[in-house]
Amino acid sequence: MKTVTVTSVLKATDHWKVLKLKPAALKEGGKAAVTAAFRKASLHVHPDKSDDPRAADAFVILHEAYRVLADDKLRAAYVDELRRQKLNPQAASNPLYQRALTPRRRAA
Amino acid sequence: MGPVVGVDLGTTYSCVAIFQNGAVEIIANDQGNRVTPSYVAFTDSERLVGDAAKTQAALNPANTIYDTKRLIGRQFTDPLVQKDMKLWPFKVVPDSSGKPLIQVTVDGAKKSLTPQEVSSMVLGKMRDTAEAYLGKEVKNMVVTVPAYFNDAQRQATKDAGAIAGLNVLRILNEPTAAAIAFGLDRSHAAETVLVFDLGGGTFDVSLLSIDSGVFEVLATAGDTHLGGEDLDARLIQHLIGIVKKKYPGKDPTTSPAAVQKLRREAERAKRALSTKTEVRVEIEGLLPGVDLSEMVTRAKFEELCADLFRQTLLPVEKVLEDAAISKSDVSEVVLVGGSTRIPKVRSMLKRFFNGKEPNTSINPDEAVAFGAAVQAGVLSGERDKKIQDLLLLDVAPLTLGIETTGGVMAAIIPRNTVIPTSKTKRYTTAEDGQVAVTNKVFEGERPLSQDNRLLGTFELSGFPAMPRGEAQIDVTFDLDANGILSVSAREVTSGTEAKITIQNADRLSPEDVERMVNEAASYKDADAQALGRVEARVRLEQYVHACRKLLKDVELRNRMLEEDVLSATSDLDTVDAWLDDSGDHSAAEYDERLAELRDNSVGPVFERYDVVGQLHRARVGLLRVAAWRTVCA
Repeated sequence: MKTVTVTSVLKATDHWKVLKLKPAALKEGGKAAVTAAFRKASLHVHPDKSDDPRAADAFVILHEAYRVLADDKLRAAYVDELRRQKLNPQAASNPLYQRALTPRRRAA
Repeated sequence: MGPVVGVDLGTTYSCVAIFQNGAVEIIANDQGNRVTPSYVAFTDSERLVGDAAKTQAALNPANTIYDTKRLIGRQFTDPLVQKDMKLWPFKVVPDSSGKPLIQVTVDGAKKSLTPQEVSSMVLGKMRDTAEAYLGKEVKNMVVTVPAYFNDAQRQATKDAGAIAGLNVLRILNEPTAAAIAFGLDRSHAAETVLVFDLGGGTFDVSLLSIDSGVFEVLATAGDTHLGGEDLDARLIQHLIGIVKKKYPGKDPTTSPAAVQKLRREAERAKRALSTKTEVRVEIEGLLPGVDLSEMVTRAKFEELCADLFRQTLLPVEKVLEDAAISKSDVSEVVLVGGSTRIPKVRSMLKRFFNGKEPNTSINPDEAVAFGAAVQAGVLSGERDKKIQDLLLLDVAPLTLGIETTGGVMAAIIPRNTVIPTSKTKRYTTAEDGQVAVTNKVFEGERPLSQDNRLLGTFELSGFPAMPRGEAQIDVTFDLDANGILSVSAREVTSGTEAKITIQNADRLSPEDVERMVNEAASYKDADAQALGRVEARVRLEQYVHACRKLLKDVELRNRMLEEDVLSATSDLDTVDAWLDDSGDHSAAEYDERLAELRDNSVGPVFERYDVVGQLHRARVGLLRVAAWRTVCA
């Protein structure tokens, strides 16, 4: 398996690529494989371990990939979302922005 | 960057350690102790920190400060502060913005100190301890805090470091640090470890997965106001009740010195009850005409503290639930903190974990500083086999969120989220032409924001007026590796950075910090003066001592004229009498006396017998002792 780096994380286009996992591999190893990949990658990507100024950003992405792929429900939702995006790219929604909050008026 | 030390800044005791040459060393202070009381005292002539401050606590109760970790980052009106104040012999008053200040009297004048300043003095003492040992300047530290400390308490701890002129590289969670101490040398396969950290004033439980060098915190919970001090307080109340019953009309709580004596004896009795089943508490002259002599059994102590002991199991249940891990999946229950020596705590945990014996393999007083030193090694880029594959993945202890319509708390960063983390939320405007949005940031677990703690209010402005719903404002919450929050915002459509202001009543302003840094520096001058005085005195004492030793030398005495012996002895006696006679002289006065002895009186006498070299040799040996004694004086 290739080493995950800050650059590879920032370039990755989906959660599997972030962790350099094959989607198929998941079914066999399951959660343990994702966890192992995340921990190994953390040793290169975490800001405590890397001098790269982008490390903090990369680590946030890395952890999000781990959080989603290690959880059956979140992973299924993520797969659905990717599928929908493929079918209708216009409606692609950024998963970062969940529901908007009601703004509050400026106090007089 | 120079050496980076790890400091466990405890409620009652602090400890400093360094990772070097592949191993952690706990650094003993000038008294030879591996832990230092987190005490600061003011006398008319000097400021005392650590052992010296604690030793004189009963004599100088109103000017001896401790327990600042229970004040730091809190409001004066906090019910816990109000409750603690009743047992503190020093005075706490609110400042203009409702934060607590500690008031002491120095040279007849009242002086107010923030908890941050007092903590900075303890941190400074730990730095001095490390510098004396390493022989190098120490500028950087990793400081530990209870995992359950909130944003204000963390920030205040960082400020304490800044006031001491230190760069706090990382605020590290205590149970996580302890987990490193536990897991560093274990070559086991992946295991799930529960750290139970019951210290002097705070209580934390963290659940971690340790897997080939990666320490991942799965969940954390705790109580920042539960510890050995609360157990002492129960015992103190019990003893006060007994005194009042035996001596109607007498109330020890009216005398700070009496409370201080009770506190000292209660702590001693509590410790003894961890190994004995009963102990006699004896205080002669607690109050005029009041002697206390009372047998306390372990059973009585356990009864007095039963509810506190039971309270410690709630966070244990919470972390297991949060991490969705069952009791039986926990491979080790690691005990940290002095209060885990209490047999009842151990037996309760053992029962909770279905008979699993708690792990007592790490030193409960030193483990946190040990782990902090390892993390300091990691952050300073120390190249060492042991730590190059070591990584801590810690979590946010409390949910961070924003108040939405109806006062409901909307979580943005849920508790137990791995840090560092960054979450972005998109906002829009509710009215046409609206050019500002105000939001309140809270931390806590309750569904209604009013039940949580307000961290600050931020206002977004500076974006162009647009029809309602069209502005798209991305607000980003960044939680750094210290668990400290910062917020930034950007309006997406216009691409402008929205101005964001966080008003946080709990944080010290940069101006405040700077003022305190300057004050701390002035203490340093005063301390240096006191030190110079002590050093000069010791130099003189050493010289006198060396001369007397020489005079006892039989060979020399045999060839010395009786007249010379008498004159030398009399000169030495004069100086000794002067030394004993009055209080403190200035460094210059001591040096003057020394020069007089060396150049005009006894020095020339010894020169006649050609033994000045011997005198010098004797002094070299003694000076080494002197250097050590100087620091403790």
